[in-house]
Amino acid sequence: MDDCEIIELFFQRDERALSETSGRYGGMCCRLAKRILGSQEDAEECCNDVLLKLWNAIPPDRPQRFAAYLVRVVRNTALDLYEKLHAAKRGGTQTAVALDELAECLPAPDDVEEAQSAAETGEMLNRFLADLPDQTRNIFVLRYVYLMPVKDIAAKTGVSVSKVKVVLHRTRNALKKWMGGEIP
Amino acid sequence: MNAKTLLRGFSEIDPRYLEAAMQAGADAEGEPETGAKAHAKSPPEAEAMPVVTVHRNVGKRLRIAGWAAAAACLLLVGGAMLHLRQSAKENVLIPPASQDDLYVEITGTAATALTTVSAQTVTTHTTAAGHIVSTAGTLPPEDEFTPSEPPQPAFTEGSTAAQTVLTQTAVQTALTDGETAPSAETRATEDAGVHPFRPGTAYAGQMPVLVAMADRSGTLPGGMQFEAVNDAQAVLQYLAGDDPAVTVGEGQKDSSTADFIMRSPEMLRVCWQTADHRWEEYGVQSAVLDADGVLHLSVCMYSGGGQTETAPWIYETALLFAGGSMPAIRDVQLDLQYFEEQNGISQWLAFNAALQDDVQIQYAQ
Repeated sequence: MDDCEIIELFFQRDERALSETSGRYGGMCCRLAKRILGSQEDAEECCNDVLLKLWNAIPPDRPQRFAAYLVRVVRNTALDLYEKLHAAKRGGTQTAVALDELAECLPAPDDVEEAQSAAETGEMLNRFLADLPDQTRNIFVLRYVYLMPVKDIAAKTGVSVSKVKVVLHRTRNALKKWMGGEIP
Repeated sequence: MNAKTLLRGFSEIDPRYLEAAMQAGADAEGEPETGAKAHAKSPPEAEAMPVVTVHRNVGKRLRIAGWAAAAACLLLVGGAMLHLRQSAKENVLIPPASQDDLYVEITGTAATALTTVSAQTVTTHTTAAGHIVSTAGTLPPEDEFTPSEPPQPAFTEGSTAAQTVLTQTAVQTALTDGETAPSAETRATEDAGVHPFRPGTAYAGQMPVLVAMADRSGTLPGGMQFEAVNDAQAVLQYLAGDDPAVTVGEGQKDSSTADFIMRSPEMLRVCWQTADHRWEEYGVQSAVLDADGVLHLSVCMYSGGGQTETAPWIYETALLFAGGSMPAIRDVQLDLQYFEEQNGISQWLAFNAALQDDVQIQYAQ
């Protein structure tokens, strides 16, 4: 069953949509959630929440790219759960590390407007990512969307860990400079 | 905006980017992890060899205390012995007194040697003592790393080393009283000897071996190791990006080849790692031996942003010396050649100081 057929099941309110989604993308969702949350139990809880959110969102949403749509839902759900669970402290997860790394990209506080929405940020990131070479963009997205550890990125993309680190470091610097221009 | 908003913002990027990365990452169910091309190469089989490293006190200049007799560390195929002369006063690494001490049979062709060398960047210069020193580092692609100083042009096939090695000024500097400058013809011969590999040439001969391979595994406690490899095939393999194993021939062989075989480069491979992973290092490293016998090693460093890794990273460089002219190494100094940091000189100083603290050089007696 392909993605279009799964979406059609959602529209028909056929619960097989959930089992098909779980069967096709369950592993990926769980791994992504676990990277964010750091715990298998929390990741499974998150994935259950994701299925519920999908059921409620489709329809009216009819995602053109179901896998990417799913990644977004999983990510946002996991980040919400992360904030709830780690309100007091953070550490030891890829999320914490990624937050530290991304903090480097931000201009000094007194140069930045507060409270930009995620959607606006996403648009801004799209403009930044559009100019990147494919491999650089993929590595950057794997790190900060999928929160994949550096070593896994290296293993999956077939480049050295050193190169991944270099790419991430330089791209973060580039994002920082770029955001300095984008944010008045 | 804060980091959390930025992190969330990544959820809203173009789905095409998500899919492309997904495909590049091949995050498939049950997909086995594959090894990445790592700069930390897997070490040669050297468990029988003692690790020869150089130790220095933290914060102080590095000193080489001397070499231990390392007979047990050679890859023995009967009859190979290693002799090293240690100077108690000067604490230097000195090559064998004569070439009768140890010989290695070298056979092979160098069909692609020049091409391989051309793919590397070889920086060559002449020290005041007249040693012709070349360094061959492993450079990452240009879009990964921009060195602060551009490297010397690589050798190209057919060119003579004179273009990059000996200059009139350098020759004059190298002369001592009573010596005369070599003639142009002689100089050309010497230059050619620095880079002797000729495509399709079969050669055999004998070359002195100084030190055999040392363990460069990921379990190193944090140290620097020297290995002088005088095996032409190993040098070729190294230049080709492989991890050569030194082979030792049986007994002594008479040299029966042209002069350039005896002037084939010797390679001193230096590799080191940082024990403390606060600092990540990457990019090219270079090594230069100055007139005082001080080995300067340059590293490129940058802050890892707090991310820690459990596996130490091993980096290496190599020096190529004209055959039979391995100079004495009296000291080792680490220089911070390049760093990527936006806060100027104060950070540079901090990096440099941290470098001296973090890199542990151990010397085994």
